[in-house]
Amino acid sequence: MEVRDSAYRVWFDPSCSTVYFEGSLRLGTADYQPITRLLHDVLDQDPEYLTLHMLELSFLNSSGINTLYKFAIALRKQGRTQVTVRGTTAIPWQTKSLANLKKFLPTIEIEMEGD
Amino acid sequence: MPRSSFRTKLVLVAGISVAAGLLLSGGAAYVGIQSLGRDAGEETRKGLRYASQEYLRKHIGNVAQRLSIEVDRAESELATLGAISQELIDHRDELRPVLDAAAKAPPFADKLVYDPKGNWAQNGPDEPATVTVWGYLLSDPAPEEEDARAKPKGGEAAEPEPEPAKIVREDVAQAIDDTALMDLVMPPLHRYGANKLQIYFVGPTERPFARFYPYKKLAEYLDEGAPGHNETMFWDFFFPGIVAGWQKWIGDSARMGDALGQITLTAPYDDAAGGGPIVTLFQPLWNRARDHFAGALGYDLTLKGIIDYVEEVKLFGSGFAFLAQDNGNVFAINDAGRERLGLSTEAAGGSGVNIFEQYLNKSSEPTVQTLALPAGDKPVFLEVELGGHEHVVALQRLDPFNAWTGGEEIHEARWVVGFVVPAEEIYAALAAAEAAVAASSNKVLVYQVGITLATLAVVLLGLILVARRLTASLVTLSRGAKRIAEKDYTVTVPVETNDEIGGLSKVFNQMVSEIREHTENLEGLVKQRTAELEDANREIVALNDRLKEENLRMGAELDVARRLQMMVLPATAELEAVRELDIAGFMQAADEVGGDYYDVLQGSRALKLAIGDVTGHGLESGVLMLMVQTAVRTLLASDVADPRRFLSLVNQVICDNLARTGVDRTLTLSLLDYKDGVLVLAGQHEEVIIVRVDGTVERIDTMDLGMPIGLDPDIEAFIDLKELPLAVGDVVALYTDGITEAEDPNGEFYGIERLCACLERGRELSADALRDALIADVMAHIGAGKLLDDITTVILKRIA
Repeated sequence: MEVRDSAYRVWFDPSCSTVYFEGSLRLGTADYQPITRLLHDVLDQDPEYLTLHMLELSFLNSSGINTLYKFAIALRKQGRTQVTVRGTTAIPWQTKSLANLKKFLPTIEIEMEGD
Repeated sequence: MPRSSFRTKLVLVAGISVAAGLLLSGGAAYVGIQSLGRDAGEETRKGLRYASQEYLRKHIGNVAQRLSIEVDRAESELATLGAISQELIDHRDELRPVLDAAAKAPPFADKLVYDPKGNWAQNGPDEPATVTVWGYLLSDPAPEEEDARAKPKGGEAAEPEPEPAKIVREDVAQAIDDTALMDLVMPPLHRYGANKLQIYFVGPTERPFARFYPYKKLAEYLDEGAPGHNETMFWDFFFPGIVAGWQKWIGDSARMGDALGQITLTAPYDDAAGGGPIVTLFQPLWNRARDHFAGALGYDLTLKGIIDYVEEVKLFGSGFAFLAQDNGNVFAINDAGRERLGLSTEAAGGSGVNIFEQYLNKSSEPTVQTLALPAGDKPVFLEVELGGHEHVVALQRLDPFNAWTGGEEIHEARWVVGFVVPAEEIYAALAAAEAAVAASSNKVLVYQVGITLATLAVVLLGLILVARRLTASLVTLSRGAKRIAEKDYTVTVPVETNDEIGGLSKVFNQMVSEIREHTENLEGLVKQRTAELEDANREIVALNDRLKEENLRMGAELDVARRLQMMVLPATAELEAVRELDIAGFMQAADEVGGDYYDVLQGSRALKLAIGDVTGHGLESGVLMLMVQTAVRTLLASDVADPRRFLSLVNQVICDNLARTGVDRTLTLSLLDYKDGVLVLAGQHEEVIIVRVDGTVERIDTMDLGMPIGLDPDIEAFIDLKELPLAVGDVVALYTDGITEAEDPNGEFYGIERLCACLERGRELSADALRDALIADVMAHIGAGKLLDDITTVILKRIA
C-alpha cells in the first residue's frame, strides 16, 4: 500500500506494522482521500500495534493534520490497536500538532525525538 | 503458355525426384529382403546339411557297428571251436587214450553205414552230428576181414548184395575217431551265440570227410543239390582254390600264430540245403608243425537277421540302407531300394555254392554304376541323382576280414553299408522355409509397389495443387504489374498466403498504394491536411471559450468566498469603539480563498476576540468560517459567560453543522476575553505573543488550552484557560500560520523568531503601524516567492 507524488510518499510496511510519511504534504482537503483510505485499510487489518512514522515528514498542512486527527478518532472508536507516533521537535508543525493526537486518542504514545 | 510450362516443369522435376527416391528406396528394400532370404536359406541349408550329415553319420556308424558285431560274434565263436580242435590235433598223441575212449563211448561213437546207392558212408540220425565219408574215401573190403564199422545194418544186410559194401579207409576212420570229441563241443556252440545254420568240420584234402552238426541227411541233400560232388574232392568241388589260398600262409609265423586272423569268409550265398542266405566262416586247422593243412571248421552264419536289419532301416521318408561286398555286390537291400538303385539279380552259376550277384556297376542307373565305394574308415557322403531326383548317399565300410571269392586267393575284404536318402526329404524344412521367404518377399514387392504408387499419386496431387496456387499468385502479381505499367494505379492483388509470395503481394500492394497516393491523390491529401487543421482550430476555439466560462465561474466562486470573508471581518469602526485597547487587524487571502478568521466583538461582560484557521481553501472553508462567526456572535448574544463553555458550545455547533452538511473541514480557534487589563485565553491555535512594554517577549503556548474544532462533539474536558494580565503599553499579537509559514523563494519559513523580533522592534508603534510594519516584514521575506496561505494578524495594544 502506497500513496506517492513527486513531493511526498506515504506507505505501509506490514513487516513492522508501520505507516511511513515522507516529504511535504500540501494537498487540498479532498486530495487527502487516498491517504485516508490507506490508513483505514491498515485499520481494517486490525493490527495489534501500529506505528506512524513522521520523522521524515517535513510539512503537513492543516488539512493533513485534520486527516490525522480523524484517524485518531477512528482508532479511539476501534479501541484495540496500540498506536505509537514517532515525530521530531526539529520539525515545527509536529511539535504543534502531534500532541493533539493524545486528546483524540488517549492511549496513543507519542515519541518525539529531540525532547 | 509460360504459366503451364512453368507449372509442368515444377511438377515434372519434383515428381521425378520423388518417384526416383521412392523407387530407389523400394528397390533397396526388396533387394535387401531377397538377400536376407537368400542368406537365411543358405544358413538353413548349411545347418540342415550339417545336421542331416551328422545324423546319417551317427546312424550309419551305429548300423556298421551292429553288423560288425554280428560277424565278430560268429568269428569269436568259431575261433573258440577252432582253438579246441587245434588243441586236439596238436596233442593227439598225448590225448590218445582219451580220444580212443571217446570214440568208443556211446554218445560220441560214430556208426557209419555204407550207402550203396549213393556210394558214401554216413552215420544214422540217432547221433547228434552227421559224419559223412564220401565215396572216394572208401575202399573195397578185404574178403577175410570184416570191418565192424562198415558192416551194413540188419535190414540192409538181409538184402541181396549186388556189390560188396565198401569200407571206410583206415586213415579216414582213425581221423573220424580223433574228432569224435567235437560232438561234445558243437551242440552248445550251436545252441548259443550267433544265429547260425550249422557248424561242421571237413578234413584235409587227403581225407575230407565231414562232421556236421546238427544232424542232417547231408549226403542225400548234396546228392540232390550238388550232383557230382561225391566224385570230386570236397574242397575242390565246393571251394576250389581256398585250401591253396590258406596254404600260402605256411611259413608266415605272424599269420600262423593268430588263429582268429585266419578266419575266412565266403561271399554270401544261398544255403544249398535250403537254409536261406548264409555266409560261411572257415577256420583252417593245421598239423602240429603248422606246415600242413589239417582240415577246416565251417560255420554257416545265417544272414537273415543281418539282412532283415538292413532292410528295415528307415531313413527320413523313403530312404533305405543296403549292405554290399566291396566288389559292389549288394546282398542286403529291400525291394524298394533295389528298384531305386536299379539292381537286378543274376543267377549264380559255375561255382559250388550259389552266390547271388547284384552288382552296383550293373545297375540301370548310370550314377550307381560309377558309384565309388569308400577306401577309408570314415563315412563318405555323396550326392547322386537317382531317377531324376537328387539323393544323398552315405557309405561306411565295416571291419575288415579275410575273404575268399573263388580262386586261390585269400584277400582282405570289407563290407560296405550304404544309406540312400532323397535330398528333398532331408531339405524338406529348407524347401518350406525358402518357399515362405519367396512368398513373403513377393508380398513385400507387391506392398512396395503399391506404397510407391500411392505415395507418388499423393505427392503429385499435392505438387499440382501447390504449383497451381504458386503460379496463380505469380500470375496475379504479373497481371497487376502489367496494369501498373499501363498507369492503372487502382490495382491491388489479393494476399492469400503467409509465405514469400504473400509477402511479395503485400509489398506490391503497399508500393501500388504509395504510387497511387503520390500520383493521383496529392490534391486530396492537401485538402485533408488543411481540413484537419481547421478542425483542430475549431476545437481550440471551442476549448478556449469553455475555459473562459470556467474561469468566470471559478472567479465568481472566489469572489463570493472573498466577499464572505471580508464581510464578516470587523469594521474599523468597531475596532475603534474599544477604548482600552488599540486594535489593528489584517487579512490577506492567498490566490485561493483561505479559511482564516478573526473577530472582535463587544460583549456585555467583556470584549471577545477570536482568531482561527479553517483547514483547506475555497468556498467551503469560507462557509465554515461564516458558521463559526455566526456561532460566536450568537453565543455572545446569549451571554454565555464561561469561556470554556463558550468554546465547547462553538465546537458542538460546528460539529453538528459539519456532520449535517458533509463538509470535511475543521479549524483551530482561540477565543480571548478582555476585561479590566486581563486577557483570558482559551482554545488551541498558534502561540500568542506578548511584547511587554519593557521589550520582554512572552510566547504563550495554546496547545494545552483546547483542541481542533469540528472533530469531536465534546471537547470541554480539553479546554483550559490562561489569564494574561496586560499592562499599558503591552502589545499582544494574534496571527495565523500564514505568517509563520510564509516561505521565501528558498522555502525558508518566516518563523516565529522573526515575528517576535519584528514585534519587539515596533512595540512602541501604534497597533496600526506595528501591523503595517509586520506585514511589510513578512512580505519582504516572501519577496519574489508565492503567497501560499492566507495571512492574518490582529495586534492589540493596551492604551488605557
